[in-house]
Amino acid sequence: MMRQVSEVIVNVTVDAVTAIKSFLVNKDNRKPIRIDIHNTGCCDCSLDLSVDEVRENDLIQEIEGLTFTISPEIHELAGDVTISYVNEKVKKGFVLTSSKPLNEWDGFGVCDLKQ
Amino acid sequence: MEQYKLFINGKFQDAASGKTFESVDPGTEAPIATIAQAGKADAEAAIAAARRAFNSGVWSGLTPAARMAKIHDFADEVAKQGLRLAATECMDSGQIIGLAKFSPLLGIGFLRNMALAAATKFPWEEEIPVSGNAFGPGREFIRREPIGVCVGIIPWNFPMTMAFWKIAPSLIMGNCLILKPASYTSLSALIIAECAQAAGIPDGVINVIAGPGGELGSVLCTHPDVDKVAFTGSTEVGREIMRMAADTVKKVTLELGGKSANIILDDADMELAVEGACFGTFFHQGQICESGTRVLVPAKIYDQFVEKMKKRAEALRIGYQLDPTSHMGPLVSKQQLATVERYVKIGKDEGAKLVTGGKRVEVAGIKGGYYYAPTIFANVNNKMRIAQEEIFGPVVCVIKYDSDEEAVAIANDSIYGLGGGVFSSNQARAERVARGVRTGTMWINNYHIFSDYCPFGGYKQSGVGRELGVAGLHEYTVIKRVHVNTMADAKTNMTFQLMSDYKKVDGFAYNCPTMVIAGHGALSSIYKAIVDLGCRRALVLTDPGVNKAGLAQKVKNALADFCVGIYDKIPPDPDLEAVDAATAVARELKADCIVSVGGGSVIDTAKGVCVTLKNGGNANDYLNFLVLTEPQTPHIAIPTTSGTGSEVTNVSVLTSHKAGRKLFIVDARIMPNVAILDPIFSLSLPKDMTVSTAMDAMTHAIEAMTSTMSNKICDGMALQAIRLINENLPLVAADGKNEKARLNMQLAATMAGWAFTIAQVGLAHGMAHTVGALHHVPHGAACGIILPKVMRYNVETSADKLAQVAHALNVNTSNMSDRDAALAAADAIEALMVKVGHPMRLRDMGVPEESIPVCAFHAIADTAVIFNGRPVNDPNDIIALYTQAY
Ligand SMILES: NC(=O)c1ccc[n+]([C@@H]2O[C@H](COP(=O)([O-])OP(=O)(O)OC[C@H]3O[C@@H](n4cnc5c(N)ncnc54)[C@H](O)[C@@H]3O)[C@@H](O)[C@H]2O)c1
Repeated sequence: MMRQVSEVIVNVTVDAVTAIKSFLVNKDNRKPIRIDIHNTGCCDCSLDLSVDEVRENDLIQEIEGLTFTISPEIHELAGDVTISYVNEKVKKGFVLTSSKPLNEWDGFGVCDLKQ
Repeated sequence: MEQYKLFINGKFQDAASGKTFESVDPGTEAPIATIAQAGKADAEAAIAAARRAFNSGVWSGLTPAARMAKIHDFADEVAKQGLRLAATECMDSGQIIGLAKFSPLLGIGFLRNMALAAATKFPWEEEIPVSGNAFGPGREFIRREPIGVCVGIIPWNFPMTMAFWKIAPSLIMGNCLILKPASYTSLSALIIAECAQAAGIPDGVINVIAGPGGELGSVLCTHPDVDKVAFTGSTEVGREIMRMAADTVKKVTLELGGKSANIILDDADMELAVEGACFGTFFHQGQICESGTRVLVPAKIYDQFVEKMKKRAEALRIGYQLDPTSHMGPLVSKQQLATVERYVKIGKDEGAKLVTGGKRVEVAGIKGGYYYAPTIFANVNNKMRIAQEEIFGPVVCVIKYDSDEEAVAIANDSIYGLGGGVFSSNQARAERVARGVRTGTMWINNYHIFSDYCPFGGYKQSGVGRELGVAGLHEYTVIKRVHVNTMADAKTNMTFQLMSDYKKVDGFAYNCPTMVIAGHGALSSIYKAIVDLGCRRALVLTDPGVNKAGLAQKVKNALADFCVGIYDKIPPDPDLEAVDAATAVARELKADCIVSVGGGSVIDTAKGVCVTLKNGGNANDYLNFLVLTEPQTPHIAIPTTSGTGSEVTNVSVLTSHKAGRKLFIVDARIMPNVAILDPIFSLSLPKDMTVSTAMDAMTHAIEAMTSTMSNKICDGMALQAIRLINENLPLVAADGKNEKARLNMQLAATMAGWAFTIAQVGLAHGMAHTVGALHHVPHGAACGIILPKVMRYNVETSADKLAQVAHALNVNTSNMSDRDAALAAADAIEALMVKVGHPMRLRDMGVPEESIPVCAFHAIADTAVIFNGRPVNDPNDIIALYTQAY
């Protein structure tokens, strides 16, 4: 069972859509993109993106032909998620912020889209 | 509720924005304090205060001892606040009181230990006795200086300890600091700021600003006035900080995540290992970056081990952190709790077996709190996310393995390398395993032991740099190299001369410490000489020809009981292997002194032996210029040829077959201690050798005079040598047994050796080296043939010197210009050579004519050519000279 949500739970900037689509070129782009918690050690966790299957109870949302999925627990913890893409001199990648920041470093780091 | 303010420039103050935030007790979820929330303006104010304080020198300008005194006051203020610090830390971070009560004591100890190390042991200044640049002599030393304004960003797991880990080294090494504690746990850092204020640490030296990491981090890590960032926290944030800091090239040290392996070997004490595995992962609720969260257990004890761990984990008491009976308190926040829950779900989805835990815990009498049961996953594959990603909670993966090698491979299969453990009853085996793991810390039969003097830090993505210990202090300094030129004179500066037409080097140091004992019967002096050197076990080195002439035996007799043997296997033009073979014998015989009896080949070999005997290793290790820092094995040289002057020179010429040429050890430390010039040692030298070695000495003398490095002392030595050779060579060529003339030849060779040791040689040597190396022309003969041609070439720049040479060669120069006298000197050399039957042409020495261009290209690159009085830039000049000599 999964739930296609009508309210907006994921915002994706135009640059991020472009970046995701270019990543998915030549790949099976019917697979959804999961927003999940990821811990890179020593204290604070962050949100990240991966190409994944839809799992039971997942919330899913279609944006610009892309499918985003998030588990209800993560959505409850982090709130709505905004995905942007930066390509600056010292920062390159996806930046994920959430309406209920996971911690004080919300949006500080960048992540890649993992296969 | 208590209210805490920011500490900037020595004052507690509200945030510029007036904003505050709450700190929550994770054991009850109740707010316990409000804290001023710093923003960009406050971060900039803190940086400005630190910059001002640093630049003023009020702290950075103190001596390490004066800073230590202040740090002692600071530590005393921490002691006064000990109870408050411990209780606050416990409530703010969820640390059990049994642990938190030690934190102030540990912090005080760390401050005092590091201050003492900095004031007494730290190498603030270090001499570099060997600079490695023979052309730029001078005193070389380094000073270690504070970096400047440092930023410390710390996490929430050990807030007080982490604060001390950043404050102590940065301040003690003379820096100023802006400390940003984690927002969940800012209180202890702000109390420590009170201690600093009370201790009178000058304003701006330490600043503490609490607030959101993302916002403050962006300012702190990019501001041009910040010189260093030291961060402890997640790899993702650390990576970003490194990128940000790159823009203004800040120094960065990072202590990041880990997924450490705790390897249980099959011979481990079971009770100890189970205890170590549980303590290594569940201590402080698993919120420690170097926790041993991958417990690797051999297949044959796996089930039993998991069962025992389960039992132990289930016996752990989880309770409110201020309750002294609690073994484990709450996690720091609801987000952390959710993260742990998420990973436990991932573990189950991945197919790992949940052995125990995997659930929240309610503590009796408390509503709320972020408590989680110690959780064990068995049947974990190291590729699973729960084995690769740091969970930072009380969750352990138990992984099965079959061999020690496999355990090491699994341990290393991680992007991290921070900590790790080995449990075994065989220390040698445990250490072997520990060596194989690529990680910053390995504990054997222990876990989570930190010590002030023991460095901590990561391999791979676990971080950059080290904290704690002297290594940690180094991270808060920058190195300044200071070179103080030996001679403050433009005309003594060989490197400046690269941009000048003046090529002569005017200033010089004359250092030729060999004691020379010369004359008929000089050999007997060896008996006292060896005692004066403090030696009792001399090994005589010689070659078969010299030995056959009975010369080595004479020396053995003169040494009486002080001779441990004669080694006569030294070949002509010795190679590195010859030195190593002789050294092996000297080591075996426990020789404490080398006596060389022979020509340049034997003496040069002996010099190499003295170096390897003293320093260990092989001759090849020391082929270099001016690298020795101490006196070498004592050496008494007894020359049996009169040519090389090796008995007093600073050179050992050794053939390297790998390099395909002769290479050098050049060092004042290899000059023999004593040279005995006794004419009986050269009476048996055959005529051809007598003549060619004499021309080697003549070339040393004349080239020393025309060298860019020449000076009046060397000129004096050289001129006397030229005179003596000119007068005595015909005598010894005619009668090898003429003892008086032989002695004069020995003195001449020694003086020529002294002359070129300081003043160097020139083009004739460069050209002779080449035909020697490529066509085996004996060195002395090659020198003789080439010398007059090079003298004529050098007339352009060295006519005055060569005119003096002419005079020494007994040429009547009274009506001649310098130039004509110089040319006459070259003619006189050729006349001398003819008189004594010296070979005159390279074609007679087996050099093929077509090889001349190749020889010229080799010769122009020879080190000796650098010093030739007339600069040599065109290989065609050398081709012309070889052709003349052909
Ligand atoms: N260290 C220096 O300052 C320096 C300077 C110039 C050359 N060298 C090196 O010195 C070596 C050449 O030395 P060398 O020219 O003195 O010759 P050598 O030491 O190679 O001896 C040549 C031959 O003469 C024999 N011999 C020596 N003395 C004898 C004696 N009294 N009676 C009978 N036979 C005797 C030897 O047995 C040997 O066979 C070369 O390797 C050269 O590169 C060193």
